[in-house]
Amino acid sequence: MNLEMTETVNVTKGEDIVKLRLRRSSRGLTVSILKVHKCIEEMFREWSNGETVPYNSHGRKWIPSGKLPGCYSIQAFQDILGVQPCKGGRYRLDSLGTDIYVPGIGGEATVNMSFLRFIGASDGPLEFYVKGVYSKEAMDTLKRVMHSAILQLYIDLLKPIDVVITMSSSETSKEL
Amino acid sequence: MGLRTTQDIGILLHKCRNRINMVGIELEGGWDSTRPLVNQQIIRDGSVKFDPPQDVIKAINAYPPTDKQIKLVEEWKAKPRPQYIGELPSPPIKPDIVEKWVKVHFPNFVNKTCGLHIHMSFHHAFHYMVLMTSEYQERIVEYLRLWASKEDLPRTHPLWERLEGKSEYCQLLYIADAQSRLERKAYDRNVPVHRYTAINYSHATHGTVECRLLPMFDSAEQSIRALKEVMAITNAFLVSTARREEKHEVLVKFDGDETVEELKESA
Repeated sequence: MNLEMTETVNVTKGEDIVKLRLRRSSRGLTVSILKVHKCIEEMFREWSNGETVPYNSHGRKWIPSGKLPGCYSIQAFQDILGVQPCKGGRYRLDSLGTDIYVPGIGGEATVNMSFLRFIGASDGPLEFYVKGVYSKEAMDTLKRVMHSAILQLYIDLLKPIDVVITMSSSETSKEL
Repeated sequence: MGLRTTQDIGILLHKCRNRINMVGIELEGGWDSTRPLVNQQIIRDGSVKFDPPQDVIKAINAYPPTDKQIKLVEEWKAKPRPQYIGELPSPPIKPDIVEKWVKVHFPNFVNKTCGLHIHMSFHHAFHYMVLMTSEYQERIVEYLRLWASKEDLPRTHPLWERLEGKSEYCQLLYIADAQSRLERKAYDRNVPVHRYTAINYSHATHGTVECRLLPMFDSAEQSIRALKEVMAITNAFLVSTARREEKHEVLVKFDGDETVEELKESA
């Protein structure tokens, strides 16, 4: 794995991290990716170590409205990434081409945010539709859980953490 | 705009343009040997039973049987009985073919264990999604009640029991989103997500909405009227709830680390 860090991309206050538009349509659920912050794409680019995968590598439910690019591979992180908790639900990044909403059966719903891995997602809008049907309640849940998933993703994977480690000699050991 | 009133749907019944693309009919019952083509297509269905009546079962098991019981068993044996029992599904057909298909394939024997199911598909996924609300099931139940009253069905008719949610094969539950993602036809009714609901959203398996509320009626004509009523309520519901679909936006802004910290605490 290439451990060399690429350019650090900072997020400034008031900036959009992700902007999506979801709409039920005659073909299914249309997902418009209007904005993905550069920091998210940079993270996936680093993780991928230059490897890419087709957008339909796990399922055939994503149908492009125009042309869709490939996605960054997260193969190296497959073991630690899976379904992750977020406020009011769960999210995942490892399921390209599959349903983006799994209703909670006696539990919380899971949203599939793998589309954030599109190559060039931060360059401009992308659109695809997901085959399947969604109730009005599902749309409300999807919107709510996606929102908290993006925030959680920021906390878990992007937020800079300053760790200060102070080491000092122990008085006790001196006495001994 | 929300759902219009019950009265609005009533006004639209049988008066609006058809929005149903194809339908599939499932007739349950018993057929005799005079229907060779039908026999080949009948699917076994454990819920359909043509067991002898209780007094006949008692007579069969009696030892020694009385003369009256022997006569009862002989009379029952002499009665015509179905040779083939189960479910006969139609291929996908246009709604205006339903009448003809049901007339040709109607079983020779029906009883209260037999169901009459209708699958409906739509030209646009959006129409399907409009029906994904508990209101649709409620309206179907409500208007089938009115229809049953107009038909003067006796209180003992199995339709009433089904409309009251007393049949385990068409429970008055609403689990549309989970149901629509079931990719296999399962037969367990005691799991959180199953297909045994009054309205079954069998999208992943058939691309259809299935109404399981109807029982088989004594005549093909009455069964056809019931099926037409379900289609009419569905079309009226689609028209009465027609509105422009709203867009859902998900926007996450970076508001500084304080906001993110708040979320972390509540997550």
